[in-house]
Amino acid sequence: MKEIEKLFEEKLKHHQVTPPAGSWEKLHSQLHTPAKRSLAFYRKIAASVLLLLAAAVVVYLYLNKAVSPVTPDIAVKQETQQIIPKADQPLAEEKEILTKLPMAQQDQQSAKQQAVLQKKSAGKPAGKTDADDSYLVQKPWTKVSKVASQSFQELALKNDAASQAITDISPADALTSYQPVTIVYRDAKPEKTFGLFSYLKSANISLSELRQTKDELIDKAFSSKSQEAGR
Amino acid sequence: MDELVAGCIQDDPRAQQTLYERFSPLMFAVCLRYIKEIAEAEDVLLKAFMKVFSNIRKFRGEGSLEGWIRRIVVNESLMYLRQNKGLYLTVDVESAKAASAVEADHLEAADLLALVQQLPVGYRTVFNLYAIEGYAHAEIATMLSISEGTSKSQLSRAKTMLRNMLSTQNNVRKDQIG
Repeated sequence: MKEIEKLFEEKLKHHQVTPPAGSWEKLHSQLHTPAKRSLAFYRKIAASVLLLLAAAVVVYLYLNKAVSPVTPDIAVKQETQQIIPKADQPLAEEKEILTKLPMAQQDQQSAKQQAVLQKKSAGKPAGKTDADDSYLVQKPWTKVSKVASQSFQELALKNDAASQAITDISPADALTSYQPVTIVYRDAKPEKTFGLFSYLKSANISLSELRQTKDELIDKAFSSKSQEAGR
Repeated sequence: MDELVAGCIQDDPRAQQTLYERFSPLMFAVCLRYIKEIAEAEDVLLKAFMKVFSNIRKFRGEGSLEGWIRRIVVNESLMYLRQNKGLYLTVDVESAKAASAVEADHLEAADLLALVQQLPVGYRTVFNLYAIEGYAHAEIATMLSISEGTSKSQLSRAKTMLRNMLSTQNNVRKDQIG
């Protein structure tokens, strides 16, 4: 008897058996059903929708935050710190007058008032972040002299120097002496969370690039799965 | 043949059908050597061809297209056996039954196929891979995640069994001729 492997190999290696009728039709329908293709397709759509939603939420938060009155606090805190020292140091002449008077404490008090005043005016521009806006704000020293001058009148008869101060700065003057002051909002920019768009702008990343990257990521994420499904 | 492959790469149904009709009889015979149930063998055949079509751009023309497809079909068959038949646990030896009374040299391929199909699944798989597909024991061991020794012993048992079957058939034939 022939070596048994040889016998079987010769006869079976090229043996053909026609598959059952209709097997091509089965295969054809499996190959070209839209269902298989649409699985990946719908996944892509779903991913895109989610991404859009996320973007919308970010934009919404960004806009909301810009309008909300909470953010200005950051700006004001830093602003008042800068301004108060100015208020503490009135013009030299004034300092002389005030130290002579019992009203010297008013200096500090008015500085606080000044801070409040600026806080109010600072509330408005919070939405804007840039440095060049100027607003009409009373200069610290005018406010001080206005407060002082009212009490000066009572003391006028007793103190010559004080009466001279009153003539120097009349209440009427104080009221009209508004001058433009530039307020610099150094750190008033929104926090990191909202840096996405400005980052994209500064990095020169176009939306199409962003989209391409998204597609690549989605492809990566699903390529292994679709290979599985392909088997 | 290159045009056929190119057509399949472009998902052209006509090219796919031509390719299928050219190779499916050969590949169905392969499936049947591993899986004797016709319906299951057909399922495996279709799955294998799905893979052929979805991966055909990876066929670089190294070796024959037939060999490439055959490997996919064999792999698919092994996968089926692994999942459904507890492939490597079969040890029991079925008693050989005479399929038809024909002498070995005159046996038709179909008769030999019937004999192979009577082998326990473990013997059958190793015998197919070694004797017909031409894999070495080391390769078979890797493919089936068994040891080389197991592969060899399964093969020798398969051969013994086939020999017995053939001699039984011969005896039956002699008796009949008397």
